[in-house]
Amino acid sequence: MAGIDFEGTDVPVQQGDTIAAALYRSGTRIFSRSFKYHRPRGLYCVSGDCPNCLVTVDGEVNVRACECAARAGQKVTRQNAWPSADRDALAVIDKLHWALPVGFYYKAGIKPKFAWPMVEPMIRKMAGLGFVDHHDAPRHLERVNWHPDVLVVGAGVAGLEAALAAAGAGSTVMLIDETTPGARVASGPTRAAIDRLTAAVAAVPAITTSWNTPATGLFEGPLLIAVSGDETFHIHPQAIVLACGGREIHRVFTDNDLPGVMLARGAARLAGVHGVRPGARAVVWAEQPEALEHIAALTAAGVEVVAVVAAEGLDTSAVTCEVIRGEVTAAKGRKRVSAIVAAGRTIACDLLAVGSEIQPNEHLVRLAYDLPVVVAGDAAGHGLTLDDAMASGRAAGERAAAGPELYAVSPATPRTCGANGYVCLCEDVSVKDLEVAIDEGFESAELLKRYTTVTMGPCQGRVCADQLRAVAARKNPDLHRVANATTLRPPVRPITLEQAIAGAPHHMERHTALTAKHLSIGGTMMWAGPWKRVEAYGDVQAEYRAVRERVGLIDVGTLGKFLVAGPDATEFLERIYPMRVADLEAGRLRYGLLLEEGGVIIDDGTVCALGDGRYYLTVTTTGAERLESWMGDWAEAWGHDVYVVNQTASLGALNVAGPQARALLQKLSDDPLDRESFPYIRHRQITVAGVECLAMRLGFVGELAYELHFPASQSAKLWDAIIAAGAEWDIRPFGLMAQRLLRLEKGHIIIAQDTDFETTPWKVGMQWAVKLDKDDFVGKAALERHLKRDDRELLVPWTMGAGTACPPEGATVTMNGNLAGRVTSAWHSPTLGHPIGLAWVKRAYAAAGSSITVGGSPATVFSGHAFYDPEGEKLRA
Amino acid sequence: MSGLFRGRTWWKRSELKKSYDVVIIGGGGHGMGTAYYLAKNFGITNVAVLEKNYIGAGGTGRNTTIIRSNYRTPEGIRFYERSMELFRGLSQELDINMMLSKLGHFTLAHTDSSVRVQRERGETNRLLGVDSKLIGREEIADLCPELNMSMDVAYPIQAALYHPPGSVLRHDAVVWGYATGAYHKGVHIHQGVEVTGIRKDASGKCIGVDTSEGPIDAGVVVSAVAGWTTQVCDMAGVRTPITNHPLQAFVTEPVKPMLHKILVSANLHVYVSQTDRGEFLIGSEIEPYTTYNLRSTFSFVQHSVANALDLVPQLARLKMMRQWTGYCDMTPDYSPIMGETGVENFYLDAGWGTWGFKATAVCGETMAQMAATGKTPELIAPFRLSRFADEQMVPEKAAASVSH
Ligand SMILES: Cc1cc2nc3c(=O)[nH]c(=O)nc-3n(C[C@H](O)[C@H](O)[C@H](O)COP(=O)(O)OP(=O)(O)OC[C@H]3O[C@@H](n4cnc5c(N)ncnc54)[C@H](O)[C@@H]3O)c2cc1C
Repeated sequence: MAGIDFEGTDVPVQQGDTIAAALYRSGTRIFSRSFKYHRPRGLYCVSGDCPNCLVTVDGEVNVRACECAARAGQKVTRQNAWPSADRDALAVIDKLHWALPVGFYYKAGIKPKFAWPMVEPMIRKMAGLGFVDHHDAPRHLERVNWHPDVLVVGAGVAGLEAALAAAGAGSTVMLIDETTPGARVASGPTRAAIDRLTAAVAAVPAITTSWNTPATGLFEGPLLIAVSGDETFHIHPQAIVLACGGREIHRVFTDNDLPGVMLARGAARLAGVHGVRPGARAVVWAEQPEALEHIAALTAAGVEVVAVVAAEGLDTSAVTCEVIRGEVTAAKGRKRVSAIVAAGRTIACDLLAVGSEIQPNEHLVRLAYDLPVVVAGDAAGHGLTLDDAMASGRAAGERAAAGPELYAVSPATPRTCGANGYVCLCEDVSVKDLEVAIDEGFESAELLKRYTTVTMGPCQGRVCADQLRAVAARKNPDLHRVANATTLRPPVRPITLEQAIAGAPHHMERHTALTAKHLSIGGTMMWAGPWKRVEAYGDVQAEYRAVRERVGLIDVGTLGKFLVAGPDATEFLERIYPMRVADLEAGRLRYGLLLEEGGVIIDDGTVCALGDGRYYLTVTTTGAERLESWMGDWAEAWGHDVYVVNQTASLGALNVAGPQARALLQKLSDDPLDRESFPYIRHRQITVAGVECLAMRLGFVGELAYELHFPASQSAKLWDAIIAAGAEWDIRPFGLMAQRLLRLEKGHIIIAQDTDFETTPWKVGMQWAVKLDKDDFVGKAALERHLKRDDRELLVPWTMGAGTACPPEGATVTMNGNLAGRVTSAWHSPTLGHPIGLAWVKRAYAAAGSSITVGGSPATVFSGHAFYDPEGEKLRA
Repeated sequence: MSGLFRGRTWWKRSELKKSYDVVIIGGGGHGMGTAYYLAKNFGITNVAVLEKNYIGAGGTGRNTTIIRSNYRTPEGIRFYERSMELFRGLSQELDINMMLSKLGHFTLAHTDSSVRVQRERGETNRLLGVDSKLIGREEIADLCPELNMSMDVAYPIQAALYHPPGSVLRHDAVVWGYATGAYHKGVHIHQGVEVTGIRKDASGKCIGVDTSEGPIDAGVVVSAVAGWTTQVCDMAGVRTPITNHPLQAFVTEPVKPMLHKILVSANLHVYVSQTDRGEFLIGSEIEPYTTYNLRSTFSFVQHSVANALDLVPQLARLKMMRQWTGYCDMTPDYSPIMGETGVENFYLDAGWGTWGFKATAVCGETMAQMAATGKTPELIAPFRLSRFADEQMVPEKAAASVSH
């Protein structure tokens, strides 16, 4: 189509049109149907505040037609109506108000009990505006960070002046506006000033401007979020000037929501900016002088202004048509205004331009508490003259540049509200509804909001919050003690979910230097904390057998690795670990648990004494980040002179495990690896395939094993060399799955899988790793207290008969059908030929040899620690 | 349909008396529920609920309204299951439609360890008679076609704990329902009255409260202030291990309902549901810092949205409508603290963290019993304050940290 595709009709578009302007020009008057009663709704504010022109544009729901630029080919449809907004079948609901009293949902559908489950799906069907396009997926949008000295929001006269003043005082300035300067202002003195100031701003290099950039929220920092096309701005200024202007207050009278009732600035915008004739015969309701200025714009667009309804005392000497003193009390008409009633007179018209009192646009202002913010122009005080507004902007710009105090929000100004009509356009809440609700007990604004849903629709109270307060205060002059205001919450302008996450890369994935290699040989990856590790290379059983029978290789580069040094290093580690450290001679290593103050196990790993009071530590894959700061905190607390250097990323690590591990490595190394020179639980500096390694003899998987730590850059070289040298024993790389099975056969726990946030060493039978006779260590006091009590549950190893199916991890332990515990680890042991595992079991059933039921099958609490090679001969080999 | 087409009186203001049999601090669901059951089950109606703001201003009016009983420990399961039972008949009992919506609750598991934890919960739940089980990818896709089951995301969904009775209901209706029930039985509801002190006699026994409207005598004082517990306990000189953290949530603009399940992902720290009004309700876990400041943050939005879109990417172009923050009185084991405090006649209903809305009904019932009889009801005995000193915790973290 040449223009907008509006529900199948081709609507022509002119230069500068918004969707609303183009549709209005082509004769559309009903833009939506209201949420509850399906009343016809037309353009009202024409400035993005009210809900009346929400349409679906190219599949995006709830787009404000008055703010969205029109483009040829756009598909636009109206919402919440069937078959069309012009003839909406559900409009009959508007005749049934008596059946939908305030609080209806709370009062209906209660009895009989089965009624609600049947009614609810129907209510769900009627809810909501617009459909979600099921195929929409997030686009990748950019986030841009800005760091101006001063941010000015709003490019009206006050904002433009503020930007110039702040720049004049030497600040870098960013000036944003949700439209372009003057876009909503018809020609006249204000528009002339805006044009002149905009040109002046453009000539100042220290001012960056961004138009069509609505601010959506203001947060601590200060951080202001704004949306600019496909970019989301995160603006981090030193100070902010809020000059976001004001708007005419929503006036409430009988049928005040009829299409044809429009705020005067909106009507003037259609006429003066878009060249659209908003009506043929208009009445202008003027409560302040600016309203009279709009008459010229309306007349120029061909509107006949037949009367002005003017507030008492307003100077109307320049008005040429009839002037009626008083207020509008009703609009008349079916689908649009045909007349209005004022001061008892009925005047035929098809447009009522409501030039009511100007109220500040205080949405951002009310989020500005405790932030370095200055408020200027109509946003600060209402109904300023042009000169006052400019002066206020200049003063604000200067104060912002000088560094303002923190802003304190002042209480909202009291307002008045008519006796009849719709307070809330989003949710169809009338004055009567509010009064009934107040009589029922819901006195304060917050309770009224929640009960009637007033202020809870898409406009979020922009249109109606003041009237809500007015009705509550009028009905209840002695409303005491409870604050009569609703809280304002971000966002203040729409931001879509994809705009909110613009530029945020969210899932960080850590890889070792060998990931590409793993993938190339068929490794499947799984999460291990922030790391991706190899789950298996296709055949867990074969990987397992390689380790038990010959030799296997696993990438353990994800282990947390620390160098700890400095004059107090030994003393520091003595206090960090529950086991002894000071007696470790150079070349020795020791297994260590890490406990928190409550004596609960938080991590485990090894400590290697390097000599000269230097230590090399490993911790679990998921622990490194957390433990780095944890150790730093303790060092700080104890005033220890110690360095904790996190080498997790700079060092790679490989574990060569299996009966042939020594033979294999000896092919690649000239250093002595025999049992005497390099025994179990020792570490040595050795060279393997030309790579300098710190080698440790450990036994996690239960076989002769050498864990090699080396510069991460050497990872691929070393891996390839070991695989090549291992070919004669049919070496296999193995993944996490095989490792878990291998360690389970040894009865070793995995922190966080077999332990929880209450697990002390005693509960898992690891008291041997705690030396309570040490002076002090983290968790000691708690453990001493703890030892005075019996534990309710213990972690025990269990076995099952051959031929029993292995229960899944997470299965329950039961005794006579009652819950008695839970399984944390379970595998079928290939070597033993039956299922084995670890389980938390109630103390009464935890004794060695007890019969328990695991996942429904009989099992026995195992009497030893390791199921495989209990004497540990293999790992000492 | 009594009272449907005419107005009804939910409650009215009452004269603040100098003395009550029972004073309840906090006009949230828990406080109102306690007042209601005191009147209903024990005929004790000389009761005042003192609320410093408007009723429901705290967690009750800010929560994401998930109720369920698929907890981890037998103590927890029994307790929350009783609440579900009471909730199921509450609309009829109080003649107010609480809009209980039995959508069904998914705890999604994206890692092997999460699958293990969810299996354990399912198995334990079933042993205790709770309808809950681990289901696989195909069943998930069948039950909730809107969910993104792609393997091509950072955390593909592997399994889910499915709890069909998991529901949402209107939070305000619960507190208003109890309030109107209590009011019509004679209970006084005082909004805008702040408790500023706990009064004790020479022996240390609690004899009343000081308030912004002057002192009030009371036979028994019940503190049901959730996120303000550390403040009220300070007044009473009671030490608890509670820390106060903010928890945030937001809703989108309403669109036609399309998601009919409650989705929770512990791995992604996010949960999503769609209300009867059509809004998507999205929340996360607590902020790591403690504060008594309710300002919302944008980093919460970024994290929760990014994760929510992994689950339901078709929400990408919906607009946010409003975000808000509440307080959570967190305990070390993610279970509540209820009953005796060491100060005679001063009882605590606290430690509600992110999980207390669903307990509203059972708390009302048990705290009423506590206040009326002075004896600790069996259901809440495991939640006694002294359990921390005795190291007899009721560990519910795995079941309560993200899935509130
Ligand atoms: C964002 C969010 C989402 C949540 N989602 C869920 C969920 O899905 N499911 C769930 O089960 N739980 C959820 N929770 C937790 C739940 O909201 C709370 O645990 C629960 O509402 C607590 O209810 P309450 O009646 O004990 O306290 P509140 O409702 O907080 O009431 C306490 C009242 O005490 C008043 N008060 C405080 N101090 C004083 C004083 N000195 N004098 C007088 N009055 C005082 C307060 O004004 C307040 O009204 C969520 C919480 C938040 C913040």
